[in-house]
Amino acid sequence: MAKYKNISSRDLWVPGVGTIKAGESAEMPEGFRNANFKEERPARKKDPEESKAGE
Amino acid sequence: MNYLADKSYLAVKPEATPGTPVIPDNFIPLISESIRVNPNISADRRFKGLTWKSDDVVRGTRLIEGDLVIHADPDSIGHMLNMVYEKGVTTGSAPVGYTHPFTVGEGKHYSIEISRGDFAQRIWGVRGENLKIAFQDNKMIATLSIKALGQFNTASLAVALTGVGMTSAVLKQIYDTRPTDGLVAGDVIRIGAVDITLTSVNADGVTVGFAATDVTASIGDPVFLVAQTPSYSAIVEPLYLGNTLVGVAATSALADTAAATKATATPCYNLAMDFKNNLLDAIASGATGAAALLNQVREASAEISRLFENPTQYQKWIEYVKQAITMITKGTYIKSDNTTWEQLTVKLHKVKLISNEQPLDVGQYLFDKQKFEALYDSVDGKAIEVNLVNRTAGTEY
Repeated sequence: MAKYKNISSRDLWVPGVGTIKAGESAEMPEGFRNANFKEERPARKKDPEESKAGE
Repeated sequence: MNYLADKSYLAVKPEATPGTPVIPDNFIPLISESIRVNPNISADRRFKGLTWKSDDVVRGTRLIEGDLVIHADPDSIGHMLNMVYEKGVTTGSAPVGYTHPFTVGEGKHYSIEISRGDFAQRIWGVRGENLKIAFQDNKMIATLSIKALGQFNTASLAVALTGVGMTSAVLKQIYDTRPTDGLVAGDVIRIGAVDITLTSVNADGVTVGFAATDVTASIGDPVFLVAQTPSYSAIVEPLYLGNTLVGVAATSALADTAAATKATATPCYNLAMDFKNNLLDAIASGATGAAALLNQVREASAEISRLFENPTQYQKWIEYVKQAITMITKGTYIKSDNTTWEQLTVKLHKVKLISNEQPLDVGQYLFDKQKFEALYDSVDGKAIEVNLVNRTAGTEY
């Protein structure tokens, strides 16, 4: 399962998932692919070494 | 694995640059389709010292064409009209509905996608050849015959992929010298059991690029375009004959007036309209199929079946009297105060009867079964005009 955001301007109904409002996100099943949606990747945790380097 | 047709989809999108494919993202509930790629493959009939017909096949001029059949709902029919006729400036807004005027002109080129199981067929440079609207069991059915410049469904590898860190694939040039035409960055292709998202489609027409991927495959292994998961903005009701009023009168203005109310409209037991662009597959050097799809003379016709009352229509037929037809089909209300609604209006400014029959069948009422040719009206300066009011913004077309 991965989270996808509806990047279209329309509320969209996905069979087997439900309605996802424009701009909102939902968990989609494995293999989901749709040009109206963009996968939301979780923000990468900052490496402690990177933090030190920036100090 | 087997697949049920009901899980397939039709997706459509106008091409920003005609003939340049895009990933279609407007999903339309399909009833049936018959889009076929015909490479015109035939037996190789050269003298080869054989007493058998042939030992191989060769290809001819490639044609891509067929029909898409949908329930004509107010949003979906907009895309069909947009492929056939030229959309003018859309007015309105979401709360009141958008009004899209269509006139005879250059319809948009579309990219469309049809899935078959896990696999998709991307057809690009699609133009509307012929749009028929008819009613079956009260529901408006739209049948759009299309032609297309190209398609991508499957190809095969020209160079083996050898495991970790692969960043590109080269496709064989058997079907086409540019086998990657139709693919777009962002597409997902399947090589073996690995789904790969494309980051580039190279200008050489044979190479696609992607992020470093662990994939192993041999020369000749198939490459498929992976189907999308469909999404629908709304599954709206089709337009109905029961919500349609037809005005038939001496002029288009009078036909508009007649179609405005049920009392003045002509009751039609059946009604069908057929709009043709008569596209030319313009074959040219440098293209295996059509290099362009060109509109030729446009034409339209209408068929009406209505109860026979007197020989008036017969007289109009044999004396080829000018008439005009306005069809207004209303859908559901859009504005919250119920003052605007979905609506398809088709005006044929000048029609003349090609045939008008009143067949006698025992136990049956008499009908005028009429076929009209839609003609150019020099007075109104047009043959046809179409207006569509729906919930789809003009930017989608």
